[in-house]
Amino acid sequence: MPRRTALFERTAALMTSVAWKEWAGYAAPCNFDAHSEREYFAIRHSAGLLDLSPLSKYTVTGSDAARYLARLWTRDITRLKPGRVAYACLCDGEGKLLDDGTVACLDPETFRVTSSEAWLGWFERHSRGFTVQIEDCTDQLAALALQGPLSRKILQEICGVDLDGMRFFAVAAGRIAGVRGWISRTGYTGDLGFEIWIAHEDALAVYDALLVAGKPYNLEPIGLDALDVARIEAGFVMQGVDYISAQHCLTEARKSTPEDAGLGWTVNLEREGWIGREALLRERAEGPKWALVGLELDWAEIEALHSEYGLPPHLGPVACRNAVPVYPGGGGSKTPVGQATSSTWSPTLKSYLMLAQVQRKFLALGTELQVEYTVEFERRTITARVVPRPFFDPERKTFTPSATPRKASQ
Amino acid sequence: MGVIVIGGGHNGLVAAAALARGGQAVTLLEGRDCFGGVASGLLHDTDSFSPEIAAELDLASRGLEFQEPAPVFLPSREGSGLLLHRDPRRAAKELGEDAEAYTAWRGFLERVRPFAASQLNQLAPDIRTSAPLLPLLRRGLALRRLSKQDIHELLRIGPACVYDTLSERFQNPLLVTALSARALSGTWMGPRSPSSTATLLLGEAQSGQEVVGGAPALVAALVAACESAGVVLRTCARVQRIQVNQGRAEGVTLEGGEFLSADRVLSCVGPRRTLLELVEPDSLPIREAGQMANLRLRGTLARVCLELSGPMVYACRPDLQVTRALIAEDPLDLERAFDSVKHRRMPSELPLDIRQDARGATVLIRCATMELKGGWTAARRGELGELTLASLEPFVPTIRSIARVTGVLTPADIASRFDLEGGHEMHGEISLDQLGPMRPSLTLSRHTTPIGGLYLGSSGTHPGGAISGRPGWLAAGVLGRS
Amino acid sequence: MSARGTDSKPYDSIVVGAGHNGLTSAAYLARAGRRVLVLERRHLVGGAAVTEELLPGFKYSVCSYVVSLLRPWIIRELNLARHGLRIVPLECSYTPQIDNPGLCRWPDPHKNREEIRRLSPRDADNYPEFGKLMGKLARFAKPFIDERAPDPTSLRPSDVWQLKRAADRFRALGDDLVALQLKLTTMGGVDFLRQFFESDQLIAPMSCSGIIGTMLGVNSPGTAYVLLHHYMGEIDGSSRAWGFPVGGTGAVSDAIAASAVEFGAEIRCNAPIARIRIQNGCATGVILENGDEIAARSVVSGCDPSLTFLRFVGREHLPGDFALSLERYKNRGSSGKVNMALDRFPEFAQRPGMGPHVRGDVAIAPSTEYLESAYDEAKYGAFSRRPFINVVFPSLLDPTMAPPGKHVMSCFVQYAPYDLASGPDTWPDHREAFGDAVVDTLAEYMPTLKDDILHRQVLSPWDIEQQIGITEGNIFHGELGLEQLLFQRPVAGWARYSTPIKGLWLGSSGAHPGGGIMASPGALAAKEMLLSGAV
Repeated sequence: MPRRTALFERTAALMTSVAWKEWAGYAAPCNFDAHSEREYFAIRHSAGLLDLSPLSKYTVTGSDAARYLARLWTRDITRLKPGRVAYACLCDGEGKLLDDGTVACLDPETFRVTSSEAWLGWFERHSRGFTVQIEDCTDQLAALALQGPLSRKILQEICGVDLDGMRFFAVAAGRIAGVRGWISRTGYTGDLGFEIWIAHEDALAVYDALLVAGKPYNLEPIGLDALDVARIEAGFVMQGVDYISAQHCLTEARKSTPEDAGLGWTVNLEREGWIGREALLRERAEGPKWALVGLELDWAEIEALHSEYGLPPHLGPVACRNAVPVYPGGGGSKTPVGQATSSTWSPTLKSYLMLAQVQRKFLALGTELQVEYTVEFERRTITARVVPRPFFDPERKTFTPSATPRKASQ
Repeated sequence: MGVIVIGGGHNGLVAAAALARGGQAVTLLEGRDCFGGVASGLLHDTDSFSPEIAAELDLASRGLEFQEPAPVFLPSREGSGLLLHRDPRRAAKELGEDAEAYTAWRGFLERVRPFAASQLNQLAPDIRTSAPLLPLLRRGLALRRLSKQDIHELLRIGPACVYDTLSERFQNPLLVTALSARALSGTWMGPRSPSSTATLLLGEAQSGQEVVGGAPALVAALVAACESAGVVLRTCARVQRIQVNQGRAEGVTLEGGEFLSADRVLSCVGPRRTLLELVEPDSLPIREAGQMANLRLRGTLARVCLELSGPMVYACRPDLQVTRALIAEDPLDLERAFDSVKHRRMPSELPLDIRQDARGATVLIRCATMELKGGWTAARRGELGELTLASLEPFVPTIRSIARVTGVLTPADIASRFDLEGGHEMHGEISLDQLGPMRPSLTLSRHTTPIGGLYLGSSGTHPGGAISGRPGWLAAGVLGRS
Repeated sequence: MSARGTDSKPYDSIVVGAGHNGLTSAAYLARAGRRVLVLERRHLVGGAAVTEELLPGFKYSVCSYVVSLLRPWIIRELNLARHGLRIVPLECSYTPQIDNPGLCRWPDPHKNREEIRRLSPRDADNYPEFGKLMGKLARFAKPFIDERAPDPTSLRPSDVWQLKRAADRFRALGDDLVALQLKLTTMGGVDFLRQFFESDQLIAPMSCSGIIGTMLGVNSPGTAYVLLHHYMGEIDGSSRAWGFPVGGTGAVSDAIAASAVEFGAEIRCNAPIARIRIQNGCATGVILENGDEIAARSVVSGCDPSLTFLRFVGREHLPGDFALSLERYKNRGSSGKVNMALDRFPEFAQRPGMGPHVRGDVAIAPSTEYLESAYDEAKYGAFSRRPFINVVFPSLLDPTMAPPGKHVMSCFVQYAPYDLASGPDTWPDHREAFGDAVVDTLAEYMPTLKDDILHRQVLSPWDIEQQIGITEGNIFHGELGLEQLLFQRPVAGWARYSTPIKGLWLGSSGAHPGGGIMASPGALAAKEMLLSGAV
């Protein structure tokens, strides 16, 4: 039986669709109406408010906290400055991805870690020899995502932190609707947005305050379906969908390295002493095998294919997480060269998008591939082209209105 | 530059001497103020020290001599006890109806011994999945030199407990007790624990003649061998860190801050301490860190010294004077003693392993748990001395008038005085999952570590054992060839 | 069918003992067109897998009480579902504690996680990882229970080939799993589990699986590997589920018997045999206790090895070293059974109600120290005053087991050593005290229990030996120690179901792969007989 977050009573009351899904052991709304279109457009045109509380959250403190986190995560946390957040990967000893998440430096000896699933067992197992305390604060700390072009204006109405000056991937402590918490300029939508971290017992008050403050801005409570479309447009991979945590893979072949999952940029192989480095050095020597690419399907072909069956093109209402095989372009070979793991119609780009893991020789922009596409129970293929990822990348995502001129860092 | 050997116990001394004789510049660092480790005043049996190593290091020229081990006497409340010689011909008279079975048992052990000894005198078999199969098969074939009957017997009794193995052969509980006790040293097992027969066979395969003068004589010879080979010997030099750079060991830092650089470092302190305490945590791959975190080394050893003002007279045989005695009448006495270990409590009756000379007796107690509930307090220490006398009294009625307890070392004392993690004299329990290719773990059993230039050579590595010298010798061999 | 006199036309095969393995052998032989006769000493088939109504309306699964490893291929091949076999999955494993709600382990991973989190958040994280590792090892181990045992001491090409295949699969596990597999086969259950978990309240019930049916404690080396069985059992393809057969375990035997009969086997109850007839070193039939002789071209024993060879065959017909090995074969029954008819459901004080937490098995295993102390008592020849008890309420899973509103309770109890210090024959003097110890223990968790008992049946290992015939009452026909498994079960070199007596085969739990309601030994023995052309 899924557990309920601090916001359950409010989200349940707002929801007309009774569409829940289980997320990390919690009940989470898929959408509030029968369709997530309104919520999606809120993310891109006004703002959406999502209950993020099921995210696993940890507070790591102690004199060795940075060095310890630098051992577990692929990025050098010892260089993370107070007030900054890093997105990074967690690898096993074989360099295979376990999870991805964020590490926020609250002060030199206090860090907040988030991940898609629970890793306390893993964290504690590897803390031997370091002076650190690790506290699982998943239940004590609620989290809200406020995402969209108007999110800054809405949040500024109820909080004292100077949001205009807050850079991308910054974090700050402050009061929100009168309660103490933290605000980070992070998100999973590829848009301007903030994540708000407050005590479990304050969550409802802050949520309500945001809904009130957001009313004039067309703020909508959103569910996971709308988020899924937005995150694919943003080109973000999802653990359990675009790659499977090595912890859950039954075969070696299903495991991915950061490079395989398009997260190679979070890895610095020159740095020593982090878990998975030796194996990834070997991978670099041998050459990585897979790459994550963004694919755009040929819309004309989709239309033509449907019309063969006397049908108009069918656009699924939600993003699709059923993986389909990817074949080389030209249609000659029947041997898959990868798989597309997430796909969605992009209402903003008016285009059909996919995230796919393919053999590295197919990663160049413009490469043509064929992806499986089913119409009327028949499996056909459609031409897809490798396009830049993120698919949708608005300037507002990273723009800081009143930034003091400083070298952009993340 | 050269080689630094950490830990001047018998394995460190053997390794340092071997390396220096092989032309290396060796510095041996000992944290205590004397060399010898557990051989300097804790363990007393030297009959498992390898004669091959003694010959290779030419210890005879340093005055080392071997002799047949003295018989062990097991007194009894009723009857006349048992004076057990290793040699079945000498043992026959005492054994009576068990004589034939004992001869057969020794015969079986002698047949198995060449195979077992060959395993002990070479590196542990490499069973890692990346290793070639052929050497492994060759070792398997060596086993086939035994008769099919012996192989079947070996496979049948190996996983069994010593109590079953020995009870199905022998009538006299004193004989079963004597042989069982040997199997249990260094283990966390009782005679009813499955697989204790395997440790019995392992112990028997290692044992032979003992050193004249005992452990002190052995240590003296090894130190002399090191000196003459040019080893730089340092006592009171406790290593705080093994410095690792770019995945390679490049020296050690001593307590007090002195840094000594080296090409290679051989650690003859426990593998767990070496890797989890002496090395920075982010220098070690998580696989080996996990393996070491799971290494079991629950100490069960305590020592009591008695000062004697007269001879120990055993009531069951007043005319007999012996140097070695074992106080336990029934294998189940050993089992009950192990029960107290399991339940982390003080034993109520102590099986005692006694070595005595004219001045006094050293008594080893192998059922004192390091993890005692409530911890080892001063009161508990006193209790241990008193229990020793109380356990001896039924067999040596005059003990209280002739003996004075002069030194009690609880497991906690042993841990601190001899620098033994967990108070374990072998840096890792002897058990099937911590032997051979699994000692101390699958990927560390061949004396190398994932850290370049860092080697392991304590009895926590293959083939383990008490004062045998083999782990140090094998590690020195691996290092020398590298 | 001739009830008396000497049968003239020899059978192709006589099966001695209608336990579930004997019946399985019979079914497979009959399925292959052989003329088969099954002889059972008691008035009903099933051996230790029987359901009996000792109080009107209350049905007891007298001895064995749950199924997990019953091989799916046997269920398919013998059409057991059509013959009435139905298995209901157990919904939970509940370990009550006297002073707190205890631990329920559910099939639902999220519910499980919440339960374990209360004991240790770290363990809650590690539990699924542990399950996955064990699942991988179980997949490695599983083929061993579905084929004959490999013999590492044999140089026959087929044996070497079989061994090579196993070695290849072993190496394919990779270093970490190879190390874990080696640890699993040699370590004690508690030590093994402590590598993963810190909560004793979690480790204790998990470690129990390693001691069931053995005269070993949870700390004894070699008890860890039975943990795998929990990840090997399968019901409806979902691994590690345990099930309760509708109608009690007797229903399993009845289904196999019905299958055997449909294939043409003949089953005769109340037909105790005195000897297996040996002529010129060959088994040629059996001699019944009433003196009748029945001829057969082969005999397959569904009885334990000691009974089969030392009593029915006789030492004089056996090679000396084979007989010696059998004499050294460890039976050592260590468990008893207490079945109770209850007037109402005796609720657990700390988790009241008749919810899903009691629709599974309940383990009285509050701590590892408790379990180890229970073993210590047994080691020196006494039954445990505070034993490990595995309780199932069959009437909650199958309402036909008791009258409406009433219940039956099946308690598997350990330790009850066959060898009491005062001798096994003194069990009748201790039996009720043993039963009282069980009830007293349970009453600490179920305060109303004592008032609810309508009838109690207490079976010590000595009683099991007397009633069912298993030597020393060992439920597995011999300890499942490493030295009595695989190619050494029951005797090294004789693990392929054939025996030194030509024409005599062993297809009981005393043969590879061993005990539990698995039916593998019976099926594999029959297949080996057919393959060898002996029948």
